[in-house]
Order: sequence, then C-alpha cells, then structure tokens
Amino acid sequence: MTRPARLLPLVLLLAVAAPAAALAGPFVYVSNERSNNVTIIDSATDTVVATVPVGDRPRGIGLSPDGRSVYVAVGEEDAIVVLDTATRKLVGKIAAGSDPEAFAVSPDGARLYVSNEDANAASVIDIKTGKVLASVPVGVEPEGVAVSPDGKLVYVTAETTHTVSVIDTASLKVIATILVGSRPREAAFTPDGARAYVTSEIGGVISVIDVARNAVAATLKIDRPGPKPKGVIVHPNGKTAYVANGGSNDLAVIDVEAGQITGYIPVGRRPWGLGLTADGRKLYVANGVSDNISVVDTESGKVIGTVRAGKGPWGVAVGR
Amino acid sequence: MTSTSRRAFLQKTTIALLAAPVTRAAAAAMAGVFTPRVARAADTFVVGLVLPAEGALATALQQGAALGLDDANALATLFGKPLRLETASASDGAGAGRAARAFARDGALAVVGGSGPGVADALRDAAADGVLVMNVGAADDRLRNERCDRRLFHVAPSVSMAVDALTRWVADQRKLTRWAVEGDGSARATEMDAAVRRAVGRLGGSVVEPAAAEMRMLAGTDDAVRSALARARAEGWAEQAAGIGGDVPLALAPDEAAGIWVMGWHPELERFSARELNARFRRRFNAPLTETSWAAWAALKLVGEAVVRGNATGAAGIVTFLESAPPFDGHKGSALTFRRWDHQLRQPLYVVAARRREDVGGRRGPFAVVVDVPGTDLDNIGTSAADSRCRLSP
Repeated sequence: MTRPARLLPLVLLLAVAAPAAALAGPFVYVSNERSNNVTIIDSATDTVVATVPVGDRPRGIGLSPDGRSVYVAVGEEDAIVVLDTATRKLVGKIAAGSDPEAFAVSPDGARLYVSNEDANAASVIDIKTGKVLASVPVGVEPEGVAVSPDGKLVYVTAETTHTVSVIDTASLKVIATILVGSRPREAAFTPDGARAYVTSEIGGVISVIDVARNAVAATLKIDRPGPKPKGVIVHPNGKTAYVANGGSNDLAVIDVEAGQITGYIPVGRRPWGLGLTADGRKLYVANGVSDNISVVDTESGKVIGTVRAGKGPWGVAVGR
Repeated sequence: MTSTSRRAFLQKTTIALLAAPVTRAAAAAMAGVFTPRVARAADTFVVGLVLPAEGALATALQQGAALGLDDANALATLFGKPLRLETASASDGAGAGRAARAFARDGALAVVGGSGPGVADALRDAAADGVLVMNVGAADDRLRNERCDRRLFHVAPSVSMAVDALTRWVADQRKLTRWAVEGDGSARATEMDAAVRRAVGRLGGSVVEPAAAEMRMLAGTDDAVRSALARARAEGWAEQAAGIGGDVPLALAPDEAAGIWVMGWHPELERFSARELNARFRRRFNAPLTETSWAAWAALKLVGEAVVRGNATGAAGIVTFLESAPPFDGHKGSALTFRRWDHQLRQPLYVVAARRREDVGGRRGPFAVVVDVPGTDLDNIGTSAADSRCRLSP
C-alpha cells in the first residue's frame, strides 16, 4: 500500500468528526416563513446541506460578524433564536419584544436592533445578556432595520407612516425622521456609509438617502409593472446595488455612482430577501412564492442556478 | 351657504359630540350657531366627519376615522402638521349637508361621510359649493357619473365595481352566465340592474327570467333585499351581514344555500399587511375592521398624506394632490389611486361567500374571503373613462 492510500481512512474519519460547517462553504442561510425552518446551502456547490427547524414564522435573518451565529427572528414567538453555524443546532433564544420581524446586528456583534411591528418600536438588545437596553419609538408598523457600517446609526423603516427613523446608537434616540416612498420595507447602506437605499413597496420606488444630511437625495422609479420592491443590498465594492422586486419577479440593478437603474434580472416568483457572498460574486435571492433560491452571477448578471428551499423563503444571510 | 336657524337645524339634524376630541364646530352646531374659523388652531388641520345618527354604521365610521387619524398623525405631527377630527351626526341628507358646510366654514380641510339615506347626495351638493368631500359610504353610480364633482372623491367602491368584480369571478370560476336581476324599483335597484346588464353583456352572458337563471342578483333597498333573502330562506344570512357593517349581500346561486357578495375590506384578510391593520383595529376597539371602517380609515390617511406630501393647506390643495395619483397604501397589496375621470379610488375588492352557520363563531364571521378581484389591472372593474358620464379631467 502506498503512503497516501494508508492515510486515507484517517482523513475520512477526521472529516466525519469535524464540525459540519468546516466541510466547505461559505454557507447561505435562508429563513422559510411558512415551513418554520432555515435552509442551509453550501455556496461552493449551491446544494442544500441541511434544514434546521427554528420556530414559528421565521423571517428576519442575520449573521454575527464572527460568523459563528445565525440569528433568526421568529415573530410568532416574540423571539430571536440563535443557530450555531458549526453544529447547526439552536443554542439560544432571545426575547425580542412584540412581533419581531426584521433586525440588524451591530458591526461589533454586541447588539441586535429589532423592529417590533405591532409595538411601533425598535428594541435594542444586548446579545450577551439578552437584556433589552432600550425600546425606541419609531413609525407605525416598523419593518426593515439597517446599521451603518461604522455602527453609529440605525435606520428603521415604518410601513404605515412611510418613514425612516434614524437612531443614534450612542444615545439610543431618534435624531431624524425621513419621509420616503409609500410602504418602505428595507434599507441598506453603501460600504462607505455615505448613502443608503430604501425600498418602497407600494410607491414602487427606491429612495436614495444622503446619510450626512438625513435627506432624500434622489428617488429612483422602478420602471416595471407593479414592481413591489422589497429586499435591497449593496455590493461590497460599493459600485452596484440590487433590489428585489417582489411584484415583477426580477431584480433592479442600480449603478451607485450614476444614480440610475441600469437593468433588470429575471428571477423566481416574489423575490424578497437578498444575500451576497463576501467577494460579491454570487447573489442569493429568496423567491417567496416559488419556494426556491435564485443564484445570480453578479459579473454576468445572469441566474446560474436555482436551489430548492423550504416554504415561503423570506430572508437570506451569507457566511464569510 | 344660506344661514340655518337653530330650530330648523335641530329639527332635522342631530349634532353630537362623540368620543373624538371636543369638536367646536359640532358644539356650535348644537347651539345652532356656526362660527367661522373657530375650529382650526394655527398649526392644526381639521377634518369633519359626518355620521349617521346612530347604529353600527356610525360606530364603524367613527372607529375607522379614529384609527385613520392616529395613523395620519403619526406622520403629520413629525412635520408639524397635526390633524384633528371633528364629528357631527345627521339624521338625514339635509342635516348632513348643513353639517358639511358648517365644517367647511369653520375651516375644515375636508369632510368625510356618505352613509345614511340622502346623505351622499347632500354631501355632493356641498362639494359643488366648494366643500372637499371624501365619500366613504355611498356606492351609487350616479355620484360617479352625472352627479360627479371635482371636490368629491370616492373611497367607497361603486355599484359598478362590485357588480363587475362579482360577475367576472362567477363567470370565470363557476361558469354561470345566465343572470336574473330581482329589483324593487328603487334607485339602487335601477343602478344595479344596469350594472349587471353591462357586466354580463361584456362577459358574454345574458340576463334572463328568474326561473331560467343560474345566478340571481337581489337589487334594491336593504328592506327589499332582506325580504328577498327571506323568501330564499336565507334571512339569517342577511342579519349576520348587516352586523358587520356593510351592505347586505346581493347575489344568490339558487342551487346553493350559500350566497356570494363583494366587499371592500374583510376583517379576516391577512396578506399585504392586512393582518397587521386588522389586528391594530381589533386591539384598539375590540371589534372587527369592516369595509365601512376601512373606508373611513383610508379617508383620514389620504387627507393626512395630502397635507404632508402635497403640502395641502386647503381643499384645492387636496384636490391637486389626489388628482396627481399618489400611490396610496390601503394594505391591499396594490398602489391605490383615484381615477382622474370620476375620482373613484381604484382598489381590489373581495368576493366573499357565506359560511355555513355552524362554522360561524368567535372571530369567524358570516363570510369567508374567496378571492380578491380584479388582479393587477384595477381598472378592470368599475366604469371606464370611455363609458363614464363624468369628465372631470382627460
């Protein structure tokens, strides 16, 4: 027997014994609103490697900066559950106020900022202790939450008041309220923190926020029939933003510098949540009605794969 | 407006202070004295609400408007433009007209109302005199046609919209094309008959004698419809329907115990954040959000958005804003806008079917939602620009 052949059984044994997440990756985590679980996809192969039950009505989903934990808002349980990415088991449950739908993790990994839809408030939660540090009044029916790259600001959209509440994370107070399009759903900052994009589902527009001025700098109209924009994400290179148009079943591609929509990419039915790999090469799109994930090659702007998810895929988080 | 004597006013109109904040216009009206410009503080915009004298409809309107005011103010106060609601109740059209004019004279931005006998026509006349009116209760097609007015906006769906939605769904899903219209000669019955004939004709069906019909449309006043339902041994259905605040149902398939009708809202809707709106209303009032309450809620929100987004400070500003077709979020999943030609709010309606009596209880009302109509093109129901006898703008 040659030397490599003699080593093979040992290598296989180590592989089996190693944590699941060490096998490949990065991994993509998808919350499935109607099947109450999270689908885990290996981005190297774009295949499903696990499905983990997480609780009642999972929607918002996000990763800790160190990649060790996935947080999932389970709105019907008024909680955010913690999924260990190594073992793929639930290891914690954080009380998150009434009806948590979406949230954001602070860049230092210490806090969760959570929208409480039926309480018209945003909860600020210390992850380590699980303690609610503050409940900040925002607009009616708060939804999307985004933290600025420097961690100093939190944007909370409110669907019924059509506003973005700007929370100062030091004082935990609203320092500005910005009127945007009708029914704002999500917000995303550019990597330099200078701009933020806010989708408005009923308005069919994207508001481009000048962060320093707390003001709408431009409004981009989505020229599609009944687009219903929801998810939004900015490429790590800061040059392109993507918007999921839940009504027209496509993505709007925004040239950040030009301030224009430059094209549309057809995906599945009711695209909702978006997630990008750290290198920005792959974009994962949760298609809520077709129960699958479209995998988009960002360089070509084409769908290069479709992955089966659970029922009602809602949010996407991508590991590093 | 002509002056109104105290006696004449109180004979025909009951002005009541309801649970809303103190209403100076209403208080003045109770005394028969309307004092111009007393209601609006420098930084507050007043909306008048004209209610029926009493009953479930008045409660539904008042509650819907109260929630709409809260939602509108959640935005408007941020911009230093708070709204205040003043209420008056009127037992007939003449009283409603006087109340509307009083509100306007006191500086109200808009008047919301339309429910009750003769009220909508009276409010329409007030609109012709310059009062901005948001109709939240009257379905009459004539108000969207020969009696339309630039200052009259219809949040409530029209007879034609309801009939189009119903006939479209029945023809498509149940393949029933032979219709009969049983009317009582009332104005409502006449409109319903015309709407059914138009709609059925468009769909390739026909109107036939009741004995040969696959679907019967009961058209007329509430009493007439109740009598017809009683003859169809469905009287319990009518009572239940009346209890949730909307019109009584009007279509029956003779081969079924259950009936079908169309509503502008339903308290069991869940999609498009309807669930959240229904829940907020129920938490506040411990009551279901009916189509009447929804219309009042929407009217207040629309006025609030005109003030904030459109910078409206008077009726003309509201007209300009609403005619610009701003996308309104009514929790119906579509951008709702007013048609330019007749000021009817485009909106999806809901085909509802009666539940079996044993299935009704708790929060399960007498009707279950079957489907929303018409889909993506909201102009597929109601009077088109080409068919309309109203020409408010091109």
